Amino acid sequence: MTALHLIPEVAPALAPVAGPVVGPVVGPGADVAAAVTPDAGPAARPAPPALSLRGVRKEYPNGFVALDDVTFDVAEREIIAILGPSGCGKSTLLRCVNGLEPIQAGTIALDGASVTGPGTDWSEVRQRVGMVFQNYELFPHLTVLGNLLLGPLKVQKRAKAEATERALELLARVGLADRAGDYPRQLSGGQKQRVAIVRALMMQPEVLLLDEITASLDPEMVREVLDVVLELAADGMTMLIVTHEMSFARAIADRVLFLDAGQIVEQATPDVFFTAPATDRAKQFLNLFEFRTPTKKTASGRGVGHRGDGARPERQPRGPTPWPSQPTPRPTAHRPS
Amino acid sequence: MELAVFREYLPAYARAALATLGIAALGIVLATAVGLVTAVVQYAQVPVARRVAAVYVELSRNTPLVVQLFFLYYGLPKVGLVWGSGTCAVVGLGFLGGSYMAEAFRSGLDAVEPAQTQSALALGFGPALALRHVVAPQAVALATPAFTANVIFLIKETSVVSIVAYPDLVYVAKDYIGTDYNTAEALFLLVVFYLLIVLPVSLGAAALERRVRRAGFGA
Ligand SMILES: Nc1ncnc2c1ncn2[C@@H]1O[C@H](COP(=O)(O)OP(=O)(O)OP(=O)(O)O)[C@@H](O)[C@H]1O
Ligand SMILES: [Mg+2]
Repeated sequence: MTALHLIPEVAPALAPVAGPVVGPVVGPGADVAAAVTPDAGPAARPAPPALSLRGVRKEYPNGFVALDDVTFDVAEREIIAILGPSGCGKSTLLRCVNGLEPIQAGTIALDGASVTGPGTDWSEVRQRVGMVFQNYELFPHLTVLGNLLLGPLKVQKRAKAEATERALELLARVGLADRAGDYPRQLSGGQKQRVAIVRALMMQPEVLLLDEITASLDPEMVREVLDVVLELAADGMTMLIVTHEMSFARAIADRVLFLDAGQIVEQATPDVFFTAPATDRAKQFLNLFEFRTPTKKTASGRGVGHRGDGARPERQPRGPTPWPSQPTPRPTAHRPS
Repeated sequence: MELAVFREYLPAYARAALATLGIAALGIVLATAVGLVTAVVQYAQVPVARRVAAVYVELSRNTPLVVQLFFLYYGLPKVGLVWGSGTCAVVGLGFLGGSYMAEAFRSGLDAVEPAQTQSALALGFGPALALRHVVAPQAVALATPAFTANVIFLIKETSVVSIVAYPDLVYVAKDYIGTDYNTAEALFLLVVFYLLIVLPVSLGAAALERRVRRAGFGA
């Protein structure tokens, strides 16, 4: 794939590292902070992590503790998949990172500078940390171009000509060059989500937070959105991705964070996490995405789904959207022999 | 009914119609301004101002315009504030209409998905910028039907301003009935002139609502 440069200024690699910069590979329970630190002399001080959370605790006003002692680092250009059962705190985690939810304890730092102090300029932080939502949240009263320009013009006070040029360029790269003048209601879900991604990119963020951005899409539109994310990954965008697309997570992530009941239960490379999860909770979670081959009944003239003899109807397994470019070997342990 | 009577009355009714339109227009502008401020103060939960706004809304909505006008015209001079009947009419309409407009705008603001604000904040908008560029434009569209209903309501409410001696249509009609006893003609012209004023506004309002609906904001 040719580099599409969805990100304008890809920051230079931290150090003269050979090959693609991949996130630190850590096993469960490993000290991430230590793993990030490259072995370098005093002259080449290690760059601070792009994003760093230490002991983050989120308690909602009703007393519910949604995040408990969450600690992890994200290196520049690293891609983290955040997985976990519904209600475990994934969205809360992303919302805490860009200050949409205040945290009750711990620190969050961007490029080594804390953004949890009382004097934090959240507008500035949120320009550096882009976010894309499940339901796109485009502005319905503005055209696609209007959606893309509002932030750059009103928040960043950039020149209209420059911002427009950039917007059209990015729209072309996500295949929507001819939709600049359309209103959001005229777009399909997949197109809306691609516009939402471009809108976030227009602010030139250093980190991108994606919260289940394909969860509201019809299956045939999932791919077009995930392809855009893959291109971002190729361009070196640092990303935190909450997703239920397991094969996508496995393909794109440098590291998987598995969250349960507000705590990081496990973190590992995708290969390790998906083939040999260390914790029971992760195993249980992954089981949800496995489908046992239904026991075939003897051939009969019955149509699929016909219910008879009290037997369960045969169904087409509907797993997560297939991700053909990256065949995922499924763990065999859970299949019936 | 005598045609000659109509011809005689017409100029006075025309003048009164203009006078009615004048205070209606000024009253609606004032009501809209008061309503906007009140709605934003309540939406943004500005500490003390929102209490004041809440008291104002209750006071304004739960007293008749006639009483409000009496207060302005006969009450204020007791504290040294003497206003002409025109000023009293406009201020009265603004005071009454402000709360109705505030409710219209507030319902519009409340109808905008909170996620819209979240998404603006996530782009780095401050709360004020988000309100101005993201929430307010959608709220205005959503509030349009309630707003136009209030405009028509306020035009019709002008019919009580004659009690503070403002020379509006009702004032002229009462005058002719009292002096000439041409009740039928005077009332007929009164109806016709109110229709001449309100009907175009109603049609304009319907067209505006259709346009806003077609724009499909919030959809
Ligand atoms: N405003 C709130 N007040 C109280 N509790 C909340 C609030 N928002 C979320 N929660 C609770 O916090 C927990 C985590 O919510 P969150 O939305 O982060 O979960 P999630 O992992 O994103 O789930 P899903 O996969 O369903 O999106 C849930 O149990 C939820 O009920
Ligand atoms: Mg969520």
